[in-house]
Amino acid sequence: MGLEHFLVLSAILFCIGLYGALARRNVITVLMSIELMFNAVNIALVAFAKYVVPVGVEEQLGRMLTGQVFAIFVITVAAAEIALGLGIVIALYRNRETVDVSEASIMRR
Amino acid sequence: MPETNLTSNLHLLLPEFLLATLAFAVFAIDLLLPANRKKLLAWVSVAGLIGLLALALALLWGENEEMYGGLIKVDSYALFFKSFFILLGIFIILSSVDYVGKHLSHPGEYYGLILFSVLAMNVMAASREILTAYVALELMSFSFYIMVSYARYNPRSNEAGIKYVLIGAFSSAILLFGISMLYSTIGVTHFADISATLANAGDASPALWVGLALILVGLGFKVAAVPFHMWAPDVYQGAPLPVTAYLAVGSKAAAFALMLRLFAEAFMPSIDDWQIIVAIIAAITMTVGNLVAIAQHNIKRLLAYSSIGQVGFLLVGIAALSETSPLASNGVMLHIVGYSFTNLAVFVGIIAFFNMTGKEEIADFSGLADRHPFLAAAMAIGMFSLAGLPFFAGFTTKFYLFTAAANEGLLWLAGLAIVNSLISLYYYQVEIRHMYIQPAPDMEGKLEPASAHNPHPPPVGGGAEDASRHSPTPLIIGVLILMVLGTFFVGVYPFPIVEALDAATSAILPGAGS
Amino acid sequence: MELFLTILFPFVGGVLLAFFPPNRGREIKLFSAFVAFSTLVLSIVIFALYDYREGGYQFTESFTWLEHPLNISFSLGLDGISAPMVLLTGIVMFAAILVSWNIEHRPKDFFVLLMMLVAGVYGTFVTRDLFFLFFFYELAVLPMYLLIGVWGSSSDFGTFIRTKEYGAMKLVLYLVAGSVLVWVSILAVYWAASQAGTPTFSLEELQSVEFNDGFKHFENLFFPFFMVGFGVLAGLWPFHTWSPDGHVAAPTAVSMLHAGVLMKLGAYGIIRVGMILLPDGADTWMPVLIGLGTVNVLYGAIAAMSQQDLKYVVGYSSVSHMGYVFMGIATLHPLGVGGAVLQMFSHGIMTALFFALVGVIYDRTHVRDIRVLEGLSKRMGFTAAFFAVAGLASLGLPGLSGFIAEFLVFVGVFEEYLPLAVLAVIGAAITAVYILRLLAKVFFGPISPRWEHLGEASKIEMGAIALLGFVLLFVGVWPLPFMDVINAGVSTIPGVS
Repeated sequence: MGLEHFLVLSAILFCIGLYGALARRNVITVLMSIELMFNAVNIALVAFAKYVVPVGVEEQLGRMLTGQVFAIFVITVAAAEIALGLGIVIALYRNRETVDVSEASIMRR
Repeated sequence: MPETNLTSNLHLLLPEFLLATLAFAVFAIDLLLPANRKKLLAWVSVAGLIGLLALALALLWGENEEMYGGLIKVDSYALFFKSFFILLGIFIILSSVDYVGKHLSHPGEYYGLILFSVLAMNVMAASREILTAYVALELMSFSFYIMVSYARYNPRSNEAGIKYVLIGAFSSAILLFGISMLYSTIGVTHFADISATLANAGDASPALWVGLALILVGLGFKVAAVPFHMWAPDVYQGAPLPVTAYLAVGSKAAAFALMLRLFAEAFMPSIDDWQIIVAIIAAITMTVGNLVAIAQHNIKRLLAYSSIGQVGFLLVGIAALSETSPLASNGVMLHIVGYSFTNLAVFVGIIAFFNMTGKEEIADFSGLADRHPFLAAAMAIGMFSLAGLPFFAGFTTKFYLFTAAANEGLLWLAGLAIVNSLISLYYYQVEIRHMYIQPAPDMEGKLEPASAHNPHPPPVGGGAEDASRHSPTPLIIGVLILMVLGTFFVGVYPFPIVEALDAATSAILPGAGS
Repeated sequence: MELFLTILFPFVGGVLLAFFPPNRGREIKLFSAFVAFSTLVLSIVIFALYDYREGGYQFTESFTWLEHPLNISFSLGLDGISAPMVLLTGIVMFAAILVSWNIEHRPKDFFVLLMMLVAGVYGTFVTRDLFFLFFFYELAVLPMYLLIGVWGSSSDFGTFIRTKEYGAMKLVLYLVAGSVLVWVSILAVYWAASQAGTPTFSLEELQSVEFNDGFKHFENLFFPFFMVGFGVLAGLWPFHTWSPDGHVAAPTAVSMLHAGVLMKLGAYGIIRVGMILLPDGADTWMPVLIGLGTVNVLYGAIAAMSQQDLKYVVGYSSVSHMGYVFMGIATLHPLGVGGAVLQMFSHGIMTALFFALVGVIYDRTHVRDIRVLEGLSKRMGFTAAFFAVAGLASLGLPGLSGFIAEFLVFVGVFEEYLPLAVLAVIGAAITAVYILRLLAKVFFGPISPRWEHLGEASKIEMGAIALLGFVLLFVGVWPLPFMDVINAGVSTIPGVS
């Protein structure tokens, strides 16, 4: 198992997420797809932090851990983002009784 | 770079800490106030922000220090934007008071969220590390997601919120993926380290370019640059009016504060590679924004497209950045300042009009000059300024910005930007024609409440509501006067602002001393 | 300080007017007239004090506005070319305010915008800095849309209607499109100067920059931008089409100011920016300009001959007369250029008089159709007499200002481009035809019974008309003070010999 395996996994996940976010009409599915994209990023970040350490900063612990720290922040932010998204979905559902993005379009005349 | 003691200069972040405290305090006070006293929250917020502005200026004037080992830098650039965002927050809150009282419930959270977004913007302008910048960007975006969907019973607001959240999360994911690519190839996330690595990189790996491109795409979504702009009109139209104003001014200004620092401090060494890409995005953005704006008949959508056009102008400045000349960086900031005054003048006028009539189609503004001459004049001044006519901010700031572009050899881009100003003049004049030349529609329908638009207006403030139907409140007129004066000031005497900008630019581009 | 006051008077006047209560029409008009009169006196004093023996920029002053690297300064100065223009602006402005006495609809807004317009015109004429020249140039365009759109009038052609909104929008978009070209080339000039090591917007410093050194063919490339960009405002064929439509749609005072003064702004810009900054480019492109100018003269005259609407006749005759200005400029001959500048002054007064008279007639009769207007001199003797004066000046009768100016232009063109001079004289002949026909039909023919009860122009209008007519006569009889000043200015233009 090397860096490439992680990167390929990350790229596949990101592409699946990207496809889902662009192709699906159900808001919940889109949110899940975006979550996949975030997780792809997390995998990549952690893998890079493990395998790619820039020359000259080995002695700085803080710099070595950047990837991991970054991943933790991304997880937190993503969770908050999804919570927010779902909250708005509920508000929309109460008013319109739909969670379909294309059905929800009432602007643009 | 030595690891500094994390707490040695913590007092420099006092404005940020106090701002967060203020936001929580507003949440708390909200719980204690009876429903008819909620206006107090706005005054608390405004008073707090004014105090913070004074504190920041007194405490941070002339400071130039790094914090947390270089994650955040407290310098004149950060201070300039801090003052700018705090002032912006004050004006947005003041222009929201009437609107919130009439059309929105839960004012406490509303003002608190504005304060949080101001906090996020301050950190965006100060951060010198990608993760810090990203977290600040998300804090701002989250505040906006909620504010956009704040009119809970209005389906348009819901829809705008959904679209904004989805696009925002989507673009964050792309931005993050770009950051991870960047991190993978050079292993650092501090702006200064990125810059040093890029300067020595020579032939950088393709992964680095993919990373940079994805970051650009992610930021392009955030600022609504074409072709990543399709969310903006819907979100602008659906959001409550003061939030639209805030979105058009605040989120753009903050995103550009971040971009300017990122491009100037981190990506500068490889400017030859990205300059042309940014220039092309700028060209497409302003052209599409201004051309599509012609076809709009909702005033908010019109301003959404016009703000897309303005993003194009600002990107011209990013493309014209130079290590040796402060013009482009100054130009971007000056345009942000001028554009904010100008756009707020227009938006506050629309808010005042909406408070009276509940309408927001361009045709509804017919005959406004007869009924409310000052309102019409202020909006006309704002629109002339947006179109770049002199005596107003728009002319001066555009001239500055385009001169910067021409000076870097981007004369074609400056020329295209000028042509776009001409196009924008056309649709602003159409709006001005409605206000000044078209006769007013029959007076019967004029005073209809906003029932169709907002089916469940919250029952707050009974007496004041009726009075505000017929004429704008003194508060909103006051804000409007301030904005118009600001528009004139930037347009006629920008010297003091440019002085401050020179200092700010020298903080991010040390070689560009003027 | 004197020159700054010329900008300040109308500007501050306009700002103060904005605080008048909107329903006090009489006070607003009196105050406007007061401001305009003080500005006129100031303009006359400045013109009289300009010392042509010394020449060059006088009354200079300068304030730094933005420092290095932009180097913009608010610097003012008057030379032999701008001095007559300042005088012209003062006269036309005062006359325009007087004939606006009948404005009843939102008078406050009208006079505020008019003052802003005039402040912009003065600013353009007296500035020595490229940035501020452009700043004021754009400022003069800014109020146009509202002035025409709100207080203008639509024309009914029977089969179709030219609305005032159409005229206003067309005028503004044309002018701003022209200023797009100007703006681009101003940026190019700054860029080239910056490459040459002197980043500045000061006209005098830019004059000493050799633009072709850093960038081959720079002057040839960018002179046409200035020529066409400013030329649009001056009514250069084929970019003149806004001019008749716009002038016809505009209220009388705005037509007077626009045709009388603003079109001169364009020609002034060609001289001040195009010829002085880019003399080599001017040398290359002048044959084109003189060709277009000749087309202007002939096309404008022929178009004027075929119009039925009195105001369109005057509008097209403006296009025709601006052709002489272009031709004179393009000769690069001292007499021709001097004649062009005098023609700018003379035509400014003359066309303002024309529009004022047409406005007076239209106010009384509510028609502008030549076929309907007959024999007005029986009821409007004063108006008819001054229409005759303006008309005779227009066709170049000796003793009136038009003669001197056109004669000088012809001499210049004879020296440089003989065949075109013949065409120009033909243009003057066509002018004579339509003017004389117009006079005969509208004023001196048998009166139609419909106009039996027509009233004469009011006292105030008579004052404005007499003022303009007097200036036409004065310049025609005693042009020397003008020519001395103009020649002092023309002799400093590089490339004119």
